[in-house]
Amino acid sequence: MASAQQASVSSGPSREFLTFVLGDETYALDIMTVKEIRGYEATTKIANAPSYIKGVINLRGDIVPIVDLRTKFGIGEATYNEWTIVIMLNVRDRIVGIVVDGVSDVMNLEDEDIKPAPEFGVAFDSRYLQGLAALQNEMVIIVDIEALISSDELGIFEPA
Amino acid sequence: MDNMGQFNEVFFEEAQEHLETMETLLLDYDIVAPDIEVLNSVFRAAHSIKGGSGIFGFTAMTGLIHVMENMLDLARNEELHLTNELITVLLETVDVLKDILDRYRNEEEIDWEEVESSKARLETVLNSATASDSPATSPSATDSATDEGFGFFDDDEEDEGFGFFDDLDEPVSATSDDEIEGFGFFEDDDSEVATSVPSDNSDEEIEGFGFFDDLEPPTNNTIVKSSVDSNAQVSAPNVSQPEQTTDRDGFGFFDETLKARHEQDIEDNARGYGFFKEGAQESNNSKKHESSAASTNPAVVAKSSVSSERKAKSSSEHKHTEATSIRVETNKIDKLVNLVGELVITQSMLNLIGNDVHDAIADKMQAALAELERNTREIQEAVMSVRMLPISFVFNRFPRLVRDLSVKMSKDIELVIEGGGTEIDKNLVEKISDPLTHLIRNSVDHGIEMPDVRVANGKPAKGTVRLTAAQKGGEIVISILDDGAGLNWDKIVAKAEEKGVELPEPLTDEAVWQLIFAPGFSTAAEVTDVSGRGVGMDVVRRNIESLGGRVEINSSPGLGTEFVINLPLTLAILDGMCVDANEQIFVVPLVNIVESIQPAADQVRVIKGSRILYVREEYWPLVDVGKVLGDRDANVADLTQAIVVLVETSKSRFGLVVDNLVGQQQVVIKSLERHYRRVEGVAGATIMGDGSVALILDVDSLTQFISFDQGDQTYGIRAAG
Repeated sequence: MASAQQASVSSGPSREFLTFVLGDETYALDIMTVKEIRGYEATTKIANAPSYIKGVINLRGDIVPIVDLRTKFGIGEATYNEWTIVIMLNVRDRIVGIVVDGVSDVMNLEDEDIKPAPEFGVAFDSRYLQGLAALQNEMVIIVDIEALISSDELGIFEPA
Repeated sequence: MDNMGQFNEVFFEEAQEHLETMETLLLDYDIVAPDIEVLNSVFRAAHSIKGGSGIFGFTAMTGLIHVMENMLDLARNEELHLTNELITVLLETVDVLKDILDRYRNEEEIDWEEVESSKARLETVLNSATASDSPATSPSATDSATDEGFGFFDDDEEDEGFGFFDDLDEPVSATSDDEIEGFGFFEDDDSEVATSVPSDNSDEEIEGFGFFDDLEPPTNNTIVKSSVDSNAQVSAPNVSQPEQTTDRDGFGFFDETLKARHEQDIEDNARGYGFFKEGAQESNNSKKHESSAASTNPAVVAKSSVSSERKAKSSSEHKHTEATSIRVETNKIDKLVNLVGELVITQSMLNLIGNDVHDAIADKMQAALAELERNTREIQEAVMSVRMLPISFVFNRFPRLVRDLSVKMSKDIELVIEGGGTEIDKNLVEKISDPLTHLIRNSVDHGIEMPDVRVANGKPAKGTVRLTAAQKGGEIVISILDDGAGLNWDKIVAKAEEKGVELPEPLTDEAVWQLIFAPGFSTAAEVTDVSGRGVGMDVVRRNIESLGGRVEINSSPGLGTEFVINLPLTLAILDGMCVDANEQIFVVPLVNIVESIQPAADQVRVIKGSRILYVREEYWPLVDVGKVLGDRDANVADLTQAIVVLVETSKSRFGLVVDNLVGQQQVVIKSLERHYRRVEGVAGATIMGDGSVALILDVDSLTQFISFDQGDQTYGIRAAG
C-alpha cells in the first residue's frame, strides 16, 4: 500500500482529506492524522473488549489496537480478506488502526466548502462530524476523527 | 548563536547541579557545631554559578547570588553564625535561584520582583544578623566563645528582638562526628570512580565555569605524589573493613586524613579557598588509586558501588569526577533500549528458523545461533544497566521536604535514609517520586505526633521517619517507616462507613489498612496544607500498581506505621512461560509460577459448581485462561486433558487452566496502554518470534476471576467424575 503522506503537500488555506468508504457512504478525514494505510492482518484478541475492537497488532514494535468502524456503526459488512483496508491514525500521540471498506481518494477542501452536518441520516453521532462537502455530486461526510477516536464511546482511550 | 546556546546548556546543567549541591549541604549543615568545610563548599558552588551567570549575562542570578555569597563569606570566616533561620533563608534563596535558572533555560520572562524581594530579604537578614553578631566577632570577644561571650549575646538579642541565637548555647567548635557529615561529597567520588573509566583530558570543556581550576596546574604534581601515600593510608583500613560496616564509617577515616592534610595546606595557602580544590583533587586521586587497589578485593568493590545516598546530588562537587562520565539525552537511551528489544525479537525469530534447518549446515547454524543468543543477551543486560540509577536520585529530595514540613507543623522529625545506592530502572525512578512524596508527607503529617504528645506517651520528642530501599530477588523493596501513632482501626472503619466505602470481608487488619487507599478517603479531621484532601492515597496506590508494583501497610497502635512498596527491577524485560489457551498464546511471568501439572482425575474436586484442584494437601482454585481472556464460552470440559499452571502472588495461590505449554522465553514488555488502555488480567503485551503479539498475564489481577460462583462458604467437597 502506498503511503498517503506523499500526497500531503499542502497549498494555501485548503486542507487535504482522505476519503474512505463505509457501506454506501463516503467519509473523509484530515489527512494529517493518517500515519499509513495497510492491508488487514490477523490480530491478537483482547479479553473482554467490545466486538468492534478487533484486537492488537504489532506495528514495528508498537502494540496498536485495531477498530472496525463497520461493526461499531453497523454499516457495511464486516468481512476480512486481502482487500480489507486498515488506516493507521496518529491521534493525540497514539496510534490506532481503523478498518474500512475501502480508501478512495485524497481531496482538497477549503473551509467554505464544508457545510454544516445534518443532525440525522448519518451513522455517526454529530459530535464526531465536522460537516459535509460535495465531491462530484456526491456527498462526503467529514469526520472529526480525533474526537471519534478519543471518545469514551469508542473506549480506546482510558476515560479521563 | 548556536555555539553560545551550547555553552548555555552546559552552564544550566552545571548550575542546576551546583544549586542541588548547595541545598544538600545546607540541609546537612549543623548549626550547633558548624563545619567550615561545608560552608566553603557551599560558597564555592555559589561562586561557580556567579561566575558562569556573569559570563553569560544572566544578571538576575548574578545579583542575587552575590548577596548570598556575602553572607556565606562572612559565615565561613566565622564572622557570622548561621542559625536555623538563616539556613532557611538561604534555602529559599536557592529555590529562587532554581526558579530563575528554569526561566532562563526556558527563555521565559524573569520575575524581577521575586528576585529583588529575595535579595532584599537576604540583605535584611544579613544586616540584622551582622549587627547583632558584630560584638561577638569584635576582638574583645572573639578569642574564645566562652559562656560569658554568649551571655552577652543573649542580652543583645533581647534588645534587638532577634531570636536567632537561642540555639547557640554551647561554644562553637568542630567535633569529630560532625566532620563525617560535612564530607558527604567524598562518597560521591568513590562511586563515580568505581563505575566509570577515569580520563583526564576532558577538563577543558568543564573548566569554563570553574573558578578554582586556575589553581590546579601548579599543584598537580605534588598532589599526585602525595596521593600515593595517602592512598596507602586510606585504602588499607578500608579494605580490611568488614562488609557490613556502613560507608559513613569508612569515610570518617578519610576525613581525618584529609583534615590533617588540609591543615598543612593552610599554612602554604594563606588565601582560604585555594586549598580546597587541592584537597578535592587529592581525594579524587587517592580515590582513583583506591579503586584500582580495591578492584582486587570484591568486597570493597561491592561496597563502593552500593555507596552513598548523596551520590546524585553532589556529583558536581568535584569537576574531575565528571571527566569519568558523559551526559546522554535520555531519549537516546530509550531508543537504544527499544532497538535492543527489536534485536531480541529478531534473534528469537532466527532461532525459530534455525530449528527448521536440517541439512549439512545445521550444526554450524546452531552454534552461530547460540553465540548470537549469548551476545544479544549481554547487549541487553549492558543496555539495561545504563538505565539503572541509584534510587538516591529520588530519595535526595526528601530531607528538604521533611525539614520544610516539620518546620511548618512545629514537629521535630528526623529522616533516616538507607539503601540510597540501590539501583532501579530510570523510568521507575521518575514515576516513583510522586507516590513516595505523598507517603512521606503522610507520615510526617498524620503519622508523627506533636512533640508534647510524644513525650506524654513516653516517646522521644523527636520523631523518626525511616526511608529504606533494598533489592530482594527480582524486586526493589522500599519501606517508609514512622514511629508515630499508628493507624486508627476504629476511625478508619467509621470513616469508610461514612464515605460509603465497601468494607472488606473479613475485617482483618491488613484489609482495614488498605481502606485508606480508597478514592476520597481521608481520616484527617481538618484539611491541612500538607495533606488531608483525600486525593493522595488512592493516587499513590494506582501509581504504584501501574508500575507493576504493590503497596502493603503494617501498623501498630502507638508504635508507628510502615508502608512497604514492592517494585519490579525493570519495566522492560520479563522471564515468562508461553502457554497456549484456546489457540492464543499468553505469557505467564516466571516469578509467579510454582509448577505446571497435568491433573489426574482424582485431583479434581468440585465445590458448589466450581472446580478446584487438590495438589499435595492443598486446594487450588482455578482460572480458565481460555474462558477469562480468550473468547471460549465455557470452561475446559475435561481438566485431565488440560495443563494447570499453579501460580502464586503475595495475596493468593491458584491454578491457571491452559491447553498447552509452549516454552520458556525472555520477552520484552510492551505497553498495551501506550496506544490502547489497561485490560483486566493483562500486564502488557510482547512481540513473539514470528512478529505476532502475545499478551502477558497479570497474575495478581487475575485473582478476581477466581471465585465467580462460590456464593456461600458451604464446603461440599466430592470427587468429580
